[in-house]
Amino acid sequence: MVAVGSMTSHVARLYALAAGVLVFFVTWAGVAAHPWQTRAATAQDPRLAALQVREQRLRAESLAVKRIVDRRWAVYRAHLALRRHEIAAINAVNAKARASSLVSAPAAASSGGAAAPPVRVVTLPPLTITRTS
Amino acid sequence: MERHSFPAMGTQVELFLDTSPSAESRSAFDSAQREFERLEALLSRFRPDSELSALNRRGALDAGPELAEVVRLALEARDRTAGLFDPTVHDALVSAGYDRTFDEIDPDGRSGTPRRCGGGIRIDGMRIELERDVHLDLGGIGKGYAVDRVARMLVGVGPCLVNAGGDLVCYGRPWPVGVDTAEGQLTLELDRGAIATSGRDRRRWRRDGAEAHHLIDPSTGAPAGGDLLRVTVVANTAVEAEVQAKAVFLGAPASGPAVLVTNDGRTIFAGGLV
Repeated sequence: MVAVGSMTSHVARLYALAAGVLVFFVTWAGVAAHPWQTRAATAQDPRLAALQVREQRLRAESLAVKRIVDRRWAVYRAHLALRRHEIAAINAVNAKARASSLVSAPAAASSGGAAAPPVRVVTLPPLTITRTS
Repeated sequence: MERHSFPAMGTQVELFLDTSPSAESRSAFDSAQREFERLEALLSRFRPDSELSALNRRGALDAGPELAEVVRLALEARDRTAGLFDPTVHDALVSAGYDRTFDEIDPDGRSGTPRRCGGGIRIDGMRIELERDVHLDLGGIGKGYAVDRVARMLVGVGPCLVNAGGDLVCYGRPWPVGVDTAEGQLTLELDRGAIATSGRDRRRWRRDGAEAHHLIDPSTGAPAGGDLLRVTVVANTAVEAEVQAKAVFLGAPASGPAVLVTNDGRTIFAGGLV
């Protein structure tokens, strides 16, 4: 009597299952590696590279412009502060003048068409001289 | 009495304050000097970076308040004097040889042909527009404007006198001011107001063997002739005195106190002045 190997051996089934799982994962890894893509396709798009270069250049330029603007803004602020100080000083002087009788003279003088101011000939030595300007 | 002097606008500026020396008076003098320098930087035709030079180059400008104000005053003066005072004498002055600051004028240069004056100026708010080939000289009236402004600054500190090479304003007390006449010197005293002197006795040079000077007759576009050597006028403001002095020199009647010196050595008093 001939002994016939049984195809329902548990050991054989386990080997077959393990081999199947191994084949499945090897196939998966192979597909995931995209072996069909060309080298050109994997290289970076030159337009993208140019855009990146341009972006870097623009960033550098914007920083330089910002530095210039900041510097000019500081100068402007300094000049503005000086002018405000001068205007405040003039306003203070004018306010003080308004409070005194002195201001009546320039106020009258600034009105157009007013009669000429009174003037007289004296024998005093002059404090200053008017000459052809 | 405190005195402060410095060069500005092609002349020597003198400031007087009838006060005791103090930090306030020193600060007022410093502010006054800075104001002169600031206005000169705006109104000088000899500075290529001035607002006036920019206007003359471009023919139109959105001007700052000072330039707009001085141009407006000059236009009013031109109307009031029927064109005897004219800010458009720039090209005539250059043609006559006054093409650089007075100290730098070439004594042996050649003169050009007289240039027309009376060109169009349009001012709308702060916008100034010049007719084609019209350029402005605001030398005299700009100095008067500066003197008036600085005097208004100083008067709050005390009685003051500002003299910018002949354009003079005083306030607050009687001030004795010397005026050159044919016979010597006369002293006028005024409590408030302005004096200006215009003439051909200074700021003159030679061109092609003939004498030239800075007072242009707008009707000819050449240095003015006539019988007068020098005119001194009293008015309420330095701007008004400057305008009247030029107009009287060119033949207008004196509307206020004035001292006229003729070429033949006579002194004439006008406008109620003895």
